[in-house]
Amino acid sequence: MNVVKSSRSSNGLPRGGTEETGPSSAAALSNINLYQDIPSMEVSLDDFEEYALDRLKVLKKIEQLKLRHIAPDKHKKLLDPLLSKLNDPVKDSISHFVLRLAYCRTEDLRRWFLTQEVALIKYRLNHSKASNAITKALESVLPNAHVLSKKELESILPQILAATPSLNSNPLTVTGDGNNIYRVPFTQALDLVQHRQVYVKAGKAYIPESKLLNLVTAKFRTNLSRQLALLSAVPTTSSLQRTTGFLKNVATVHTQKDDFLDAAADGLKLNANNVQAHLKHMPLCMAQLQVGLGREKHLKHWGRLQYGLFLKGAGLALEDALTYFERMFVGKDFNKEYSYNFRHMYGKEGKRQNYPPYTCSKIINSNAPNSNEHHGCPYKHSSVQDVSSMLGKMGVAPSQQKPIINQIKSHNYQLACVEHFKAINPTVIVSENNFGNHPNAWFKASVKASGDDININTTGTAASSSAVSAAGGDQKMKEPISVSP
Amino acid sequence: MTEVNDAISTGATTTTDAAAVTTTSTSTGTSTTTNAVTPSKKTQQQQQGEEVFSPELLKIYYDRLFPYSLLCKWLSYDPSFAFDDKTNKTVGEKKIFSRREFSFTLETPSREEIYIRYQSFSDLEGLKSAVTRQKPRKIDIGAVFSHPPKDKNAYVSSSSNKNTGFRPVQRELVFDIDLTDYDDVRKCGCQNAKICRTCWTFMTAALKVLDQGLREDFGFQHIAWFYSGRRGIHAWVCDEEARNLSDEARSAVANYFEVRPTYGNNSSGTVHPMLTRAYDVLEPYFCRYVLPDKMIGGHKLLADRDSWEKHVLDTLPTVAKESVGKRLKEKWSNPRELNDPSPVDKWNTLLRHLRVKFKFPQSWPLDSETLKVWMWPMEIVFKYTYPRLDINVSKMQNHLLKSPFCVHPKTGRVCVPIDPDAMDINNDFNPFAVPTIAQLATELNEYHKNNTTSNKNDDTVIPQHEWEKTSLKGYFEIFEKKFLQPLEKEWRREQRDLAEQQAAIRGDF
Repeated sequence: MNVVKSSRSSNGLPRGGTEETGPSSAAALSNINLYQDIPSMEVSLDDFEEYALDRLKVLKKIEQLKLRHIAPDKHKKLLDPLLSKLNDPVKDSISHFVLRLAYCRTEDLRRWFLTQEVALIKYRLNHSKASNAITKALESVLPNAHVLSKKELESILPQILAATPSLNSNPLTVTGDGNNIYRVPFTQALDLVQHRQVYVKAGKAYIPESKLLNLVTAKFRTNLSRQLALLSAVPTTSSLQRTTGFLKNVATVHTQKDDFLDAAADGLKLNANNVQAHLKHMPLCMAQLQVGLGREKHLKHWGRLQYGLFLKGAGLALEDALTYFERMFVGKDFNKEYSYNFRHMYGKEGKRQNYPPYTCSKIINSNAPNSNEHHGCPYKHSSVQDVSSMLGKMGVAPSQQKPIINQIKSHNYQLACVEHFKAINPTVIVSENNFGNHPNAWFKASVKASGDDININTTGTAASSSAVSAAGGDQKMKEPISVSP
Repeated sequence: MTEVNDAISTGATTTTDAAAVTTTSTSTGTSTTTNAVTPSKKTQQQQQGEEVFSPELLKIYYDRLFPYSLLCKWLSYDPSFAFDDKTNKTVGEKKIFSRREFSFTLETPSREEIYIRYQSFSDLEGLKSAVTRQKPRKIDIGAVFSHPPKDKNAYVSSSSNKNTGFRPVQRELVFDIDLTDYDDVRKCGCQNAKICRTCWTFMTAALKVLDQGLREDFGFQHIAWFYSGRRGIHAWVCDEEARNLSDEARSAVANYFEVRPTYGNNSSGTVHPMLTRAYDVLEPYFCRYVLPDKMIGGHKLLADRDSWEKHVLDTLPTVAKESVGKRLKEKWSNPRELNDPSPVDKWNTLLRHLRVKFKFPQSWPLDSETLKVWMWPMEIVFKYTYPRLDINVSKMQNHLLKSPFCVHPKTGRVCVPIDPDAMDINNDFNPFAVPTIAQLATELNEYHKNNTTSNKNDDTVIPQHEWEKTSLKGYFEIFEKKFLQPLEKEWRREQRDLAEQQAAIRGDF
């Protein structure tokens, strides 16, 4: 699409919503747009920005609904007013592609955008007034899906029923309306295949119509993900430069500054000798790694990554990390087998990329730990009993655990973690976003709240801060502190 | 002693040389023949005082026995691949082979291990000369990359793009199953790296389930299985579709086969066909190798009172534990029972009791307690015998896996191919029968001794490869016949199809 500078009134260029738009947007009127075609039209800078911001409001609302676990029946009321601004298919299309430009830059931005856009498509398909919206969408993304004939279905019906329990309630109407079975290559239905929710035979997955939505969104996700990755590699051209500033700003709207990663600026100075002493400031995911490390004298691959990067973010220098882990990995040939691994994390080997510590969403959504691994988010990956006993060891009495457990039960893992923080730091007023998203933010907030200044050698503030620490008198604290009487 | 070893290290690249070496050693006396290939330097493990692994033995193996042509032909995925014995050159396009990552684990004189990644070789000769020169303790095989991995640095830049830079482009779908992951159910007394014939049956059962699943559910045909040389097995799925799977698809396949302990919580009363099929495969193994006493190669699950009470009857869902479980406890512990039922009888009695006492629920929603009882037999059979995959190995294209045909440094055994069809409930693959490199060196010497002393002008066929003179022959020939030849057949068919298609386009038939 071309961006024209002129304002909307003075030029006679076609604008969104008019009949002069291309065939792709005409199709979008009847179907839900899966953004397979890039719009080719001119758009004013004002519209360019306005459309993008309107869409961003929708995406942010979607994220909020999920994070706060708002019941799905309330989504419509909260979302539709915002979404109505994107009813115009041209505006919808343009705003989507503008945000692609804005959010393709980094891995984190891409992941955020992808998650919200997929949720949006899902919402739209589910709430579409057209009864065949999903099948239409499937045809557009997977034109080769085959609908089983009655005869084809007969021979494998028992297997399909066994694999797809949701059909069981009404097995007789399987071939009836809305219950077609689609045959697709299994690679198009990975999510259903990996959870064994469909029948798989000779490389083909058999998908009941009720699960088509999953297929469409999966395909949409892979397409968009690939497009974003490709887009990120495209150098900014001069024609885009007028929008660069705006695009940058748009992308930072939803992300807080990662100031908690700037450990040094806050006098956080972990070293090989005081890691253990900071166990009490670690969120449960990291505490469990530290405890597992102490017990087994070893951490498996993902554990090393999650914990190693966390400590890096908490201010542990490479030399100290090597010393510390070598000391902890008793009976292992550390230098031979693991030191490369840690140097790699610090960007000293291989790609030489300075890897950031894992965010909560990465920890929660990445691979689940096996029985002898300690990585992951305990609120998601461990049983309530295990979490409870771990919390007990971290000094959270069973009586204080109730709010934490409640959050786990409603699958609010990050809020559970925030509750843990509240339990041990009752005086700190929590503004959720600060550390419910990142273990390092949690850690930093906890260290600050306790007044434990890691670097004892710093100036007088260390001494004075310990004196007033109970009241949270650290001048550097950004959060408001309430003093308990 | 040293002279003999030197003699072997200088010669021994072709059949004639090897024979000459053997003649030399036989001339010094029969007893030294064995010594010549059993150097005196001590290494990790010994079998009855005999050494199974040493740099000298490894040299003999790499110089004379390692099946370079089998490995390279396979990894070429090229119908025109051939090795011309006369010119000593590889023929074929080498397109895929030269972009394959090999990595070597070397040992320095100070016994430190060095790991060298991203090596690649343009052809068989390149691989062979590097292997014989460096004598890696271990060889790993990685992905096929967009460019030859040895030139990696030319294509990697700090702003490397996933879609254009140096990146993995294809890779066999691989699986790794290891007996150490079965420690909690190995009641034979083995732990960690120790294995016995009894616990090895877990590997056989796992192989059967996975092999069948990959073939029937995913339609893969070219699956090669290997003994890892110590305590596990590897699968290499080599179909073109498998090699081109994305990381996400690899994860999905691996997860599809992964059974977590909580799968029993299902409210629908249905079981996925894959699991039903696995149960049918595994239950006989469970009956034959898990239930019986140690004496006859079992894990004694139903062979002693402590075990059947604690590990079987007490694991029943509450409703069944209080009824059927309680009754059988009394019955089985009753010393007056004359015809003591066998463990398998006990298992069948238990299943029968459960089915009679708990009818499958007929009304919706299904009664969850009864469902639990119905799921229980599968749960316990799977707990002991369902494949426990190291799924991280399978999930990524760019994950290394130990090369087939190399030698495990701790056991000295060769990672030989396993033929799944040769195995059934009564015929197991025997890891203890796999030759060590020490044994192979002896076999080579024996062969040459017999063939030089006896009728030399006889019209006996001279083997093309030295491994044909040893017990590797059986393993490698089955690999050729059951895996490599079908693979080649498909390459040729693809090529024919392509040629016909092109001919059709050009219009000349």
